[in-house]
Order: sequence, then structure tokens, then C-alpha cells
Amino acid sequence: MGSGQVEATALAALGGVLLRGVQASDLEWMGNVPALKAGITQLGNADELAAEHHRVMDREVFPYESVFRSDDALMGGLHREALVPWYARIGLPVPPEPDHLGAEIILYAAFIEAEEEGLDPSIRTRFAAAHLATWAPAALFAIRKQGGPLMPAVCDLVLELLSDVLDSSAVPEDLLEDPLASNKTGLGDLATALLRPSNSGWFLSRGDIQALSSASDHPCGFGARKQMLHNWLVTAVQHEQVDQAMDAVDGLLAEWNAHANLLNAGGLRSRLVLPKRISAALRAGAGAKEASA
Amino acid sequence: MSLSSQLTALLGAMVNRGARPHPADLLAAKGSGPTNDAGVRPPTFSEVASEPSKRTTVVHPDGRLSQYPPPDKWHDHVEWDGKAWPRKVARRYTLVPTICFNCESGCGLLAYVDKQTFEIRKFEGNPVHPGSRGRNCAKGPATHNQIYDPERILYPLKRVGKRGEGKWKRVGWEDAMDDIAEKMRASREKRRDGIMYHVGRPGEDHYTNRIIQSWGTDSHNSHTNICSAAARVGYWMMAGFDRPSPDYANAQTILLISAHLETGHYFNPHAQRIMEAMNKGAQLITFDPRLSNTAAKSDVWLPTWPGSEGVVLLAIANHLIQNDLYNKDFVERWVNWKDTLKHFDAGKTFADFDQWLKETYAEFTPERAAKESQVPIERIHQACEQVARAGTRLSTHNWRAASIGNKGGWQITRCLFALNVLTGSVGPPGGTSANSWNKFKPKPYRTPPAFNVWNELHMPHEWPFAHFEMSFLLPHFVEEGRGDIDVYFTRVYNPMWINPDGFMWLKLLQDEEKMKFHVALTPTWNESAWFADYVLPMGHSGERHDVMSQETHAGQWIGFRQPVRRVAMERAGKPVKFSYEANPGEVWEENEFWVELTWRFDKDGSLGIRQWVESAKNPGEPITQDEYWAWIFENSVPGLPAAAEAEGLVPLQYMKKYGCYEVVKDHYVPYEQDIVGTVKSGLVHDADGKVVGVKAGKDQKIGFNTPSRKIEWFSATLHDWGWSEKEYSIPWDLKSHVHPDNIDISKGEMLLLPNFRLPTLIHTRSANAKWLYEISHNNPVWINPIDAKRLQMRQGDLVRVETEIGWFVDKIWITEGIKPGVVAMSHHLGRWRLKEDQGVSRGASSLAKLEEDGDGGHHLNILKGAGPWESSDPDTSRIWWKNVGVHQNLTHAVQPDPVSGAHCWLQKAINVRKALPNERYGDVYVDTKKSMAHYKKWLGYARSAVDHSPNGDRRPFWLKRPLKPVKEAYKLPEKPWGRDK
Ligand code: SF4
Repeated sequence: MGSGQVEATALAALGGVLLRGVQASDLEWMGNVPALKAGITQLGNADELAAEHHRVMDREVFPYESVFRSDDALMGGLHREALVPWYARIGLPVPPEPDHLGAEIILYAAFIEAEEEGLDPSIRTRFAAAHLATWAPAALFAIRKQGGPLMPAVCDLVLELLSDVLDSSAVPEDLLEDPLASNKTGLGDLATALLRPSNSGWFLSRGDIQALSSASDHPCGFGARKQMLHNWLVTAVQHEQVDQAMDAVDGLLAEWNAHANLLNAGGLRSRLVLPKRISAALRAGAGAKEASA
Repeated sequence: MSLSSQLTALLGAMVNRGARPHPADLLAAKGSGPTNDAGVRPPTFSEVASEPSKRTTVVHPDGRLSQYPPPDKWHDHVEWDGKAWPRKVARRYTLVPTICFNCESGCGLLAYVDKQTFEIRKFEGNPVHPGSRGRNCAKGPATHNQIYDPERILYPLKRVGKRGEGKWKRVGWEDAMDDIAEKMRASREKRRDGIMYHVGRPGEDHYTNRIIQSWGTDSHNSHTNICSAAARVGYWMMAGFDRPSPDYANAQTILLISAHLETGHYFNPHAQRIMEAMNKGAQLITFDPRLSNTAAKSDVWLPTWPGSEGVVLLAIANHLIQNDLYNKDFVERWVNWKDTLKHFDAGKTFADFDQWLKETYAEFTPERAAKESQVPIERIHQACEQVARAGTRLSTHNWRAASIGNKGGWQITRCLFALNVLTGSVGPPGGTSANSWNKFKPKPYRTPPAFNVWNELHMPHEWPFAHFEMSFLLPHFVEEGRGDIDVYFTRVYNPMWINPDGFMWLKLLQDEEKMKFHVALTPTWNESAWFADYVLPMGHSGERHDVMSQETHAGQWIGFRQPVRRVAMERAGKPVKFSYEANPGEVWEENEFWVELTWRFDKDGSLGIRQWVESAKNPGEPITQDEYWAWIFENSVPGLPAAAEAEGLVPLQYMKKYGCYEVVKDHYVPYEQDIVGTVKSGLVHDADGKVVGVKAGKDQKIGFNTPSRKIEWFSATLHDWGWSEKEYSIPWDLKSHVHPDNIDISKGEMLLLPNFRLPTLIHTRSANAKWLYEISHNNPVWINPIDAKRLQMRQGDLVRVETEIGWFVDKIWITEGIKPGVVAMSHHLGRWRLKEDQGVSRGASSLAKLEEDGDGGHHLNILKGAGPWESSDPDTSRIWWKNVGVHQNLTHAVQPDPVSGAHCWLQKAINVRKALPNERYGDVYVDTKKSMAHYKKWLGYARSAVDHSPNGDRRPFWLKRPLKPVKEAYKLPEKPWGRDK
């Protein structure tokens, strides 16, 4: 097996873990990788492993290209459909969730394998540029941020294996409408923009919003992510402690920017400008209000 | 260890790895579904270049017009998409008939299935369905919401962690079934009463029961004792059937006890026929302490004090008797008056009986009725006149309501049916028939033998007349040490929420020693499923096979429920093996599940069970749905094969095409059917000596399904089994537990009427229907202005209602539509979930917290009401309502009627007052120590078969049970529970 093939096998295996969690057949190879072995041991048994996968991949982060790239941040639609022909290209059946991060990684690995049989390598490069590289840097970092004994290590390994590809994601796409351009924009609109990765670059899970809330000491309540984020912003404004809240935003943003820089992921970096601008605008708005008072 | 060394280790592991999965297998491992977009994103529909199809105009009996696609064009129907207006976008559908499952009426639905995407556009009425005649209530079309509910359960889930912790893992059907079958087998090897199948709404007419019977265990448990048990006992003891079937459309007078039946239950088929009759001049009398929709439309509304209905009915009976207005021919021919006279030693001739009636019922005067019911006497007179005027065209109904509300409620049903008997309106046009005459039940395919075992947790000896299992007392029985359960199936059933005294259920469901294994079969999350070990997603009405028939009018029909997408796919030439291949995700249907589970349960056939689910066509293979239903329609439905042949179809094709078949039209007085046989002591016997009829006058007739084959005014069965007093053995009024003597309003006590129904909801399973919840989503406490003034409360104030075991806090709604002294709440509402994003729908439930103090005290507190959330369905972000009601049932003490065993729903509210500032909306508190004490008090009213059985049996053999064991199993045990010390 050539080194490309070994990497492809590793990517497919890690993609499988992202897609469906750890299966009994994975335990052997995972046991040979210390960081993964530690995670498995800590979780203890198959039920806990399944529950952990469910927590991160079904409840905290929605790891679908359609969520990360569409205007409404909802699953399905054109971004999902656009994946279908890529599977067909190498005769793979279209999986039920073709735009799941794990599925795209497995597909990418399958392209590498198919190159052994003579597949034109530019197909893989084009696939990566059109799909995987445009959103995987953000998705992997979002998953990583949810913590837990296993998933961060899985993400690190995927990032490492894909670093060249993700680096090539430097092509920024068009930014969506700028929410700060209108003077009618309210905190609800800003919360919406912050929750759309296609707008703001990052992905905020419930856990992330709760972390922001405890860092700034303003409650976010519970509910849909938008509701939580909105609650938090409203409370900060009502308590006239916008700076405190924006310090938390900027802290999180610094982590995301460091990640984008490390990967040299231009698309992600260009989007992360929006949260920065929102943070600055809110600070400025609060300052102006204080001055006029 | 650095990342690079981790990577090296990973790559090393890959080199040394054995067989590597193919990418296709890796990709498939996430699951084979969803096969379509239900629950994942809104459905999509294809556009076609075509003009809309023509429709047929139908004139309904009440003069209204409707238009429907003609059945011969159902396979290819084009219409404009209303949502695309003003653009003209044509969509092409195949229309598949099925049967609604949102109440028991079994109305016909027609699914509009897109011919390309196989997504369901909508459900409308099936115009060829004889019961519903093309119409539905709001709940029928809302089936679409349930199918495309973004929160529905799409895959089998297995509990991870502790029960109720809310941690689940997705598993495959195969693994789940193997695990469950193994546990069933282990139980059956030990005993025959360890598996329990507890059904809320069967929604089908025999299939599951047949399979349960094949297990050879006493496993069937139902919800009947919190529903219709009392009414069933009343009708059964008098005439051997267990519910009425009024011929409303032809009635002169219609008398309904509590409108909730026709406002909320057999709603659509009955309501349309009531309107039809009223258009023709029929009079409507309604007994209801609440001004319901039906009461508001009535000619005579009698807002009776709950529990006083019997006195009013007997006053009407007395009016007929004293004024010789009753149908003496009918009574002489069909009532067991000779036995009655003999028992009371009151003579021998019909004239003696007439005299006995006059003397016995003389005390029920209009004045007494007016006083006890607290209704103006003029209205009692009006009701008397209308009933007398009806003659044989008197349609009456009482299903739940007063009968299930009151201690002794079963007698209210008898008093009501006595009016049909006295007017001779039993079974003729415009009268009141038996359900069994109009509900068509096909003979099942190969019936497994009856089992020889008696499950003491289902029917304990204390209630020999229970109709049926004493299911709501299951936690109390287990708490007392009467037994435990190895494998518990709940099917479309949410016992912790729907039953009274829900915290006792919580205790049971959490107890892994007594409730060893719980499998919830449900289309959607519910409070009880949260505490299950497996949650298995089952289909809604457009996703499963069943046959259904209901007594909607004077005729018989059979309806075929089908998985509509599967049928549409088959029509398009795409074969489907199991319904879950066509349903969303891996949502299955019960029928196929039961077959596959039973197959595994008896994995080698050694238990003798497997044969009952084995195909006759392909021995060694499980039977398929098509094979099963083809047999039923060919062999069990008279007239259907010929009707199908006339259209060049086989019966199964006919049913798949039309979804229903009318078996008998204009079905009246079947008891008058002639019968040949040998007459002994007035009864007609067949060649085997079995009683098959009765002498009626000079004729031999089939008669009724009672021991005497007549209508039993005097019930020897009740008399012989311990209820020998006149108050029980003949139609009489019994004093309810909520009689005014037992409610002292001056001390703050009131009567809580907790069970009226809304026409737009259906118990707990309509929570995932967004259209329905937008219409009705909360259950305030109805209170009369007189009481509100006394309690110094204003509209919208919070009220604290204390029952005998706990209390709850709700908002009040001040209205003259409820009787003074009574507070009323609808059921269905007050749903809750324990996690924000899992459990009952976020648009229909409150986020709640459960706490207990370790000494019987339990709290439920609402943290947050309903609200919008982001999902694949944009409508979920538009939810504007917050308060979704209060879960009052938790605070209801169990009150098993000593005869019928039914839970008596009306509660004595021992204190009703304005809430204090620290008492919040939705707060509930219950002390389960009081629960058990209250249960024991009511247990004390029962008369056990151990003390009263005349023949050593547990129960009169002629009474119904959903699944009857062999006669031998009826023998009382040597050591009955509680008597062995
Ligand atoms: S009356 Fe019952 S069966 Fe008929 S449409 Fe309404 S809910 Fe469905």
C-alpha cells in the first residue's frame, strides 16, 4: 500500500467515525492510536460511545454542508443535491446524507483510492475545492470545540491529514448580505447572522452560546440557539454591559481566527470578519448611548 | 504525545489493519433512511404540464355540495397547486385511500401522493366511504402534520444510561427485535402472565389481538377502564352489547348525555347525521353541565348536576310509564318481564308488570329530578314530552361522560337505554341499535386457541364485572405486591400522562425490578416513552395496514387502512417488501413488526406460536400483509368478492382502490331474525344444544346476546354475583361520589369535571399536529361567575385546585357556560417534556422539572412554555402560543367503580382558591401516600368474586373480555390475592 493509500484508508476510517460513531469493528485500529484509545477507555462502553457521538454530532453541531453553506443554514436543498453527481462519478451509491462531513471525507478518500485504478486526480481536487474545503475547516473546528474525550482527537487527525486540501480553501466566496448595512437591524437579526456559518464563518452550538453566557455572566436561557443567543445579547444590552459580552465574543473569535490562520483557510477567515464587525458595532452603539446619556 | 506521533500511530494502524470496509458500506452504515423527506425537510412536489382533472359534484343529504375526484381517475389526478397561486402550477398525484386514526370513527381519507416524489401533498375525505361520506373533522387532514412532523421519531431507539435520563442510541430493527424476542421467550418459559401488551388506541379490528392470542399468554391490557367501561357494563347487563349505535339521520328526538361524545369523539360521521336529522325537524336534547358546542345547538339543554342524570332519565321513564305512553307491545315481546316479576314476587301477567313499573318508579317525579339535577322543571317537562313524541324514533347515546364520571355511572347508561326500551326504539329506523349490529368484524384468518391462564394484574377477583382490564390500577397493584412484569409493550399509549394518579405510574415505570423491560411503540414522543427501554417508531394512519369498521349509522361497512406511499410506489411499479421502506426514516407498521417479532419469539417453532404467523403460500416464510388481507377480503367479507369481480378486480385490489366496502345497508332490528331449533324453557337451542334464540310471542327469534336472550330489566347476573339490591339489579339511580351531599361549597369544596373533550384534539397523540395546536392549546379552568365572585377572582387569575391527593395551579376562564359549583377542564392538554430538544413537541409541551421528596411528595414545575424553534419545517419558527395547559390528571385520585371497575373521573375538589404569589402556572403537587390510601378506600367498596361468586368462577363467563381464556382459567385460585393469610 502506498502512502497515499494508507492516508486514504485512515481518512475513510475517521470519516466513518464522524458519520456513524465508533463501531465494534473500529475498536481494534483505534486501540493502536493512543489519543483515540484514551477516549474510548474513558467512555467505557459502546452505549456511552454512541451517546457521545449523538451528543456532539446530532445535538450540538449539525455537520452538513447545506447547514454551513446555505443562506438559511438549514439541511438539504441545493447544497445537498450538488453532492449527488460526485458519488455517481465513482459508482458509489448516494448515501442518505450525502453532505454529512463524514460522508464527504469518505468520498474524498474513495477518490484517492480510485486514482490507483486510473481516476484523474483533478476530479478529487475539484471536488475538494467545490465542497469539502469550503466548509470542513469550520465544521471540524466547531466539532472540536464541543470537547469530550474522543471527538477532538478525531478532528485533529482529520485536520492533519487534510491540511493541504483545506489550505487550498483560500478562495473566498461572495459574502451574503451585510446585516450591519441596514439601520433597521436589531439584536434578533444579528443573532441570526451570527448563527449562519455562511454569513459569520463560525458555528455556534448551544454549548458555545452557554460558554459565552457564562464568560460574560449574562443569562442566555434555553431553547433554540437563536433564542439563547438573542436572550444573551438582550440581557447584556439591558444591563448596559455590552463590553463584557463582546469581550467574550472577541475571545471566542480569537480562537477561531487562530484556527483559520493555522490552516490558512481564507474562506473561513474572510467570513470571521463579520462577528468582529458586529462586536465592534455593538460596542460602539453602547458607547454612543452612554455618551448621550 | 504530539499530533505527529498520533498520526504516525494512526497510519501504522491502517497498514496493519485487516479487512477494510468498502466505502459504500461505510456510507451506508449511518442507516438506510430516510427514504423520503418526512421529518427531515419539507416535502417536494413535481411540476407537470397538464390541465387539472375534472371533479364530480356530490349533493350531501343535508343539501350541501362538495366536489371530489371521481374514483376511476384516482390513479392519475392533476390539479393546480393552491400554494403556487397566482401562478398556475399543475401537480400530478395518485390518490390512495386510507382510514383516519385520529379517533375511533374510522373516517375515510384520500392521500394525494405525488407521482414522482411519492411525497404526500394532503389528506382529504374519501367520498365513497359509507360512514364519513367524503367529510372529515379537523383532525383528519391534520394527519399530514403528524407525518411531516420534524420531531417525529424516525429510527428505533435504545435507552443508554438510566431509565428516564434521556440518553438514547439509534439501533437497527433486527437488533431490537432479537433483543425483545429473547426477553419474551425467557418470560414465557417461566410463566404465562409475564408479558403485557398495553394498548391505548388499537385503531384496528382484530389483527394484533390475534397475534397476542397466539403467544399463549394472558397479555392483553387496554385503556377501557378509563374510557368506556361503565357505559359498556350498563348496556351489556341489559342487552348484551356494549355500546349503542343510534340511527341519528332518521330520528325524531335525539338525546345525548354529555355532548362531548358528538363534539369530540365519533364526531364527524355522527355529527353530520345529527345535522341531517335536525334539518328534517328532529329535536335535540342534551344533558351536560357545560355549554358545549352541541349543547349550544340543542333544543333542550339540561345542565344537570353531574351524577344526577339517572334521576332525570328515570323521571322521563316515569312520565312514559304513568301516562301509559310506553310501547307496551315492544316491552311485552322483548323484555324479561316474567323473570322480573318472579324475582320481585309481583304477579304473573303483563298487566302485573305494568303495575309493578308504575309503583316502582313512581318516586321519580319531575320535581325530584329538577331538584336533584338543579335544572328548571320546565326543561324536564320539555324533555319528557320530546321523548314521548319520538315513539320508536328515539336516538340516544352515552359513551363516556356521566357513565365514566360517577360512582354508579354504569346505571346511568341503563336508565338511558330504559328509555329506548320503553319507547320500542331498540333497533328500528331512527332508533338506537347495538354497535355489534352495525360494526362489521371480519372473521380472522386462522384463530389461535384460547390460552389457559389468568393474569391477576389484569382482572383481579375484586371486580368480577370489570369491562375490561383494571389497567389504570396497574401501579397500585404492583405497589401492593400483586406481581411484576417481564416485558411491557405500550402501543399508542401514554399511561403516565393519561391515567389518573400519574406519579404512581412514574414510580412503576422507573422501577427496573418490577417493570423489567418496557418497549414503547409510538409514532411520536410521549411522557411515558421517555421511561422506556426501547422506543420503536410506528406509523400514522397513512403508514400502516389495518381493517376498521365502526357503527356510524344503520349499516355495515369495512374500511382498509393502507400505507399510502407504499401503495403509490407499488402502483408505479416499485415493489416494497416492508412498509418502513416507504415510510419516513425507518418508521414501521405494527402489523409487520408483530409478525417479525413473533417469528423471532418462537425462533425454532418449538413454542407452537410461529405457525400463526407463517405464510400458507410460502411455508417456512412469515406471512405478508398482502397475503393476509387478500385472504380476509376473499373469505370474510360477504359480497366483496362479487363486487370486485364486477369491476374485473380481485377483492384485495378492490380494497386497495376504494379503501372501503359497504357490507349491509339499512340494517334494522336484527334480533327479530327468525331462527330454527328446539325450544326448551322459552329458549331456542341448535343441534349441539347451544342457545341460539328465544320465543318472542309465538315466534322463534334470534333475540339478544343475554342469558335470557331478552332485554334484561332485572339482571339475574348482577343479583347472583353479589349485587342483589334493587338499586343494582334493575335500572336505578345510584348516589354518586360527587352528589351535592358530598360537596360542601361553603367549605371551599367544588366538583372538578376534568374530562370534557375538544373537537380538535385527540388525547395525547395530536400534540404533533401543528394546525390543531394552533386552534386549541390550553385548558383553563372553567368557572361560573357566581363562584368567581365568591372566590374574589377575576378573568385570567391563577387558581389552585386541590384534590384528595394533591393540587395544581391553572388560569381561570369565567363563563356562564359551566354550572355553579362545578369547575371544568378539558383533557388532552398539559403536555410536558424534560429536555429542551427531545421529547414531546416543543410547540405542544412545556419544559418541566420533576422532583420528589423521598416521602411520597412529587412536584412537577413548568420551567418554560411552548415556543418557536428552528427546524426543517418553517412553521415551527412561527409558533406564537406559550401556555399549553396544565397536567391535571396527575392530581386525580384513582376511583374504581365497585361494579364496572371504571375509573370515576369526576373529582371532589376539596379546596379551590386563588393561587398565592409563590404558586405558578402549571405547578402540580401530589402525595402518593394519599394516592394509595384513596385507592384502598375505593377497593373497600368492591364485592369480590371470592365472596360472591355463585359457581366458584372469577367472573360470569358470558361477559366479554378482549381476549377470552378457556373456561378452565375462570376458576378462582385456591389462594386469591389478599386472602392467603
Ligand atoms: S371524526 Fe375521527 S376518524 Fe373522522 S376525521 Fe375526525 S378524527 Fe378522523
